[in-house]
Amino acid sequence: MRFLKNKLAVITVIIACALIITVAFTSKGRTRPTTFESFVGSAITPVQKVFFKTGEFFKNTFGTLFELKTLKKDNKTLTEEVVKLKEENRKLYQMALENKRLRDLLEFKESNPKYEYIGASITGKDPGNWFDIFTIDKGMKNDVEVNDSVITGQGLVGRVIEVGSNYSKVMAIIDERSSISVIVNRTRDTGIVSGNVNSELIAVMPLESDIVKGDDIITSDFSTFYKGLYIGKVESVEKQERKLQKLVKIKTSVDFKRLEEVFVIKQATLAD
Amino acid sequence: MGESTLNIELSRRKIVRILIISLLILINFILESTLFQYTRVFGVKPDFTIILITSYAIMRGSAFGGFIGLFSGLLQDLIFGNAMGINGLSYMITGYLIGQSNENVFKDSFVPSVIFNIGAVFLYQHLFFLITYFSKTNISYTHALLNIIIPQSIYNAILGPIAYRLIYKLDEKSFMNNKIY
Repeated sequence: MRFLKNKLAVITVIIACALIITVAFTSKGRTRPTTFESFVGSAITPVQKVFFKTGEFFKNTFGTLFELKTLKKDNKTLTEEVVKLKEENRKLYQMALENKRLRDLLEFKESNPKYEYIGASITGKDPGNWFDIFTIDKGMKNDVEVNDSVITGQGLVGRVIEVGSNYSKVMAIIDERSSISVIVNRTRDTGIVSGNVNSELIAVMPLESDIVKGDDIITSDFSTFYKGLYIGKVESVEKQERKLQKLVKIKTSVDFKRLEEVFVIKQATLAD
Repeated sequence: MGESTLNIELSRRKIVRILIISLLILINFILESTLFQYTRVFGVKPDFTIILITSYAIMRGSAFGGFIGLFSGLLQDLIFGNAMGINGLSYMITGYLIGQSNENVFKDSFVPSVIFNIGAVFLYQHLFFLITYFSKTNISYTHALLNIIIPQSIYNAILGPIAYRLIYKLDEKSFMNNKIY
């Protein structure tokens, strides 16, 4: 019995050492999973998808029951808003036409990039409490590539960090390890935004930057993301005189707790 | 019953047991990444993998605790992790160490489950923190302790005994057992 126990201890130590080595070798991050990983990932993704959808279904069903009361009121305000937005849209369309005409006149190049959208649904979220990583059901087969930006209609969600054949890993912008170069839309001040363990977004801005509560934050030209993607609004600004910086808390436009469908975007080639 | 038939029966049950535990690991992983995401309270999710590991470590010792820990952890690393083996290593060591208590605890009582769940969460999270610390991720320790580790250990201590009863009942089933009457 004693011998058996010792044997177990020896095996445990050997496996532990082997794991430490694999951690050391893989900690730089991988962008392509190995064949084995890809196999497990491809097999598990469809199953996860079913369970994830089941969860969403129950949540939505119960959610609707509670929302029945406010439904009529919401409908009315939304219809009013649609009318207002339609009118605004017409104006903007006119302005876009005018803009294009003037640009042509001045022979400016097209500055607004066009995107290709790949629709994807989320299949699973990281079980741990430390990081915010999730998997989606589109991969190499659907032309998803590493570092592609992931968005929803509300704004920026994250970045693809690993691509398997029919699944990809996405790191959310609220992840501790994520950092993005951003710009304040109103004043064009730049800063760095990163997530933290509490799934909040914190930006570090220079002390002299002009930023107030309610400012819109978008991605800048220098980030791995495409520029001009909407991140969120400034929630609070804290001045740190000694560190010569401002600590800005940002409220993301995306509700990360209710994420179901996302888009992977790719910049279309200039030819079209 | 002859000696040889007895041996065949025992090895058959051993295989069945390993298969069932592997299935438990897989189901646990799939549920953790999907349905159990809705068990988050103030952003903290109980660690069901820890519950599974401690339950088996209490009932059956280090070998089971370590085995379940290693494979659940590796599965998590594979699908969601960055560096391969962080979770595998932390969970395996946790399972192995909790399993050392196996011979000295009452398996019918719910008390060991409560205590070891708290202990296991602390152990696992600290191992995890230590490894990620070396891979250049700067997380404030006090912040992590107050916002993740302590709430999660309390949450685990509440759910642990309930799950332990279910797993205990499953383990008492004849096909899971070593005893032949």
